[in-house]
Amino acid sequence: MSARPATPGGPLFWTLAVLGWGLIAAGIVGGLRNVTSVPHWIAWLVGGVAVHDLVVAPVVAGIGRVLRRTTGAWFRAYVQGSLAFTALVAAVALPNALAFGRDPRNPSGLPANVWGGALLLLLESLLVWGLVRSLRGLRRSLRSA
Amino acid sequence: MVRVPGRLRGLARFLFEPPEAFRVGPFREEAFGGELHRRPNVERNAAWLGLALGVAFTVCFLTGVLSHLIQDPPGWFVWPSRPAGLYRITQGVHVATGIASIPLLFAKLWTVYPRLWRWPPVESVAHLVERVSLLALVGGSVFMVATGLINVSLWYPFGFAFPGGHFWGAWITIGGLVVHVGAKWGTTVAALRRGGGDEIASEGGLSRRGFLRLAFAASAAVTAGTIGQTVRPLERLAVIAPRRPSVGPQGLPVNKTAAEAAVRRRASDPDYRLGVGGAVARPLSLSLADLEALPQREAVLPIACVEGWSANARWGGVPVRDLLDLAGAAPDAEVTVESLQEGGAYRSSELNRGHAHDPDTLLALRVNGERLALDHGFPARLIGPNRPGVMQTKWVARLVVR
Repeated sequence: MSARPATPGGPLFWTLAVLGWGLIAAGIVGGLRNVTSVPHWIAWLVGGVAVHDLVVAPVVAGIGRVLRRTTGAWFRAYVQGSLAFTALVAAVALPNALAFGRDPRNPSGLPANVWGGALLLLLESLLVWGLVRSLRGLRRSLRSA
Repeated sequence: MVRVPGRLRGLARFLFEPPEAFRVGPFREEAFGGELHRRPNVERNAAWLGLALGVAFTVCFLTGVLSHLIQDPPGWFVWPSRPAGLYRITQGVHVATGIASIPLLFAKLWTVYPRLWRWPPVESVAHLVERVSLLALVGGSVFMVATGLINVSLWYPFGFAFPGGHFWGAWITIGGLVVHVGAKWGTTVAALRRGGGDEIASEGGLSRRGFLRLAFAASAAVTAGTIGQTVRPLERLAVIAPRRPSVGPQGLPVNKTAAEAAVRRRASDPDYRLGVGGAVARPLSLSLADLEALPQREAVLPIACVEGWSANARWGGVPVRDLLDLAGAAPDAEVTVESLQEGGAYRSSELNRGHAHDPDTLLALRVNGERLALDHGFPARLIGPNRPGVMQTKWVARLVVR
C-alpha cells in the first residue's frame, strides 16, 4: 500500500485558503446576481465536472486498463501515446470540426474543413516527432562514436 | 449507553480504514494500476502540469478581466487608444493560452484522477477546505475551457449570455486555484526539486516523462494549429482554427452579418443619414455623399475580435474628432456610437475621451480602398485603435455626444 499524499495545513495554506475562498464566493455571488440564466450557468459548471469525472476519466482509465492487458510491452507506449495525443488534439478540434456554429450567411466563420485539418495536424505532429527522435538518435550515435 | 461510543469508534474505523473486501471499484488501492499512477510519478507530473496550468490560468484570468473592464468600464478604469494593437495582443494571448491549456488540463486531471476516490475522503478540517475548493477549481476549469472553446466556434448553446457566465466562472476558477496553490505548494516544490525517478515504465507503457512530453507536445500542436487566426504569417498553419484572418468579404472575417443583425434594408437605404447630436452646439445630419465630401483620413488598424482572431486592414473615412469639431462638441467630449440595429448587446459602444479624439478613430467608409461591404458595416462603421471588435460598431446611425 502506497503512503497517502500529504494533507494541507500551515499559515501559507490558511492565508491562501481565505483569499481563494473569498474569490470563489465573489464569483458565485457575482454569477448569481449577474448571469442571465443562473440555472443554465450552474448546470454547465456542475455538468462539466460531472461529465469529466464520471464519464470521460473512467473511459480513459478503462482504455488504459484494456491496453495494459491486450498490447505487447514493446509497442504499448506507442499505442498509448498515439491515442492520448489524438484525444487531446481532438478535444480542441472537435467543436470547430462539428461546426454547429456555421452559418451559410457568413462564409468567414468556420471556413475550413477542420476534420481534414485535424488529420493534417496529427500527421505533421507525427513527422515532427519522427524528426526529433531521429535527431536525438543521431546525436547519441555521434557522441558514442 | 456505554457501548455507543465504542460502536461509533468502530464505525469510524470501518469508514476510515475499510477492510479490503469492502474496497470496490475505484476505491481499491490499485484500481488505477500502471506506472503513471504510482505516487512519485503522479506528484512529479502533477507538479509540472500544475505549474504550467497555474501560469496559463493566471494569464487567461488577467487578460480576461482586462477585456471585461474594457467592454464594461467602471468609473476608475480608462483604456487608452494607444498602442493601437495592444488589445489584439492581450485578447490573442487570452484565447491562445486558453486553447494551449486544454491538453494540459486533461493530462493533469487524468494524472490525479485516482485521488478523487481516495479513502477516507477527508482527514482534517484543512483537507476538507481543500477538497471542497477542488470542486470549484475542477468544475471551473472544465467550464472555462469548454465554454470558451465552444464560444470561439461560434456556437452558443449555453442558455446564458456567454460574457457574464465566463467572467464570473473565471473568479470561481481562480479562487479554487489560489486555494490549491496553498495546499500543494510544499509537495509541488519538493516534487520539482526531486530527481526524475521512474523515467522508464517497467511494464512497457508510456514513461512518466513520456506522458509529460506528450501533454506539452499536444499543447504545442493545438497552439500551432490555431494561432494563425491572429498571427497572419502563420495563417496557413491554422488548420483547426475557427477563423482565417484573410477569409471574408474584402479579405476580412465578419463576426455578425447584416442579415443576422437585420439591418440590410436600413443600411442599403439611399436616404441614409448620420446624426450627430447630444451635447453639441450644431446637431448634424449627414448623407453618405456629405460624409464622403469631408476631409478623409486613412489608418491601418486591426479588427481584434474577443474570440481571439484579428486582422489588419487599411481603413478610410472621416475622423470622429473632425465630426465632433464640426458639431461644436466640447474638447473633452465622450461619445455613444449607435448602430442601425434595433437590438442586441452590441448595438452601441462608448468612445471615451482618448478614443473619441484619437486622430485614427474613424467613421470608416472604405476598407482596403473599396467602399465597405454591407457585412463590414456599410454605409459607415466605427474603427478605432486598441478596441475590441465588438466595440467597433457597424452600420452607424448616430453619434450621441456627452
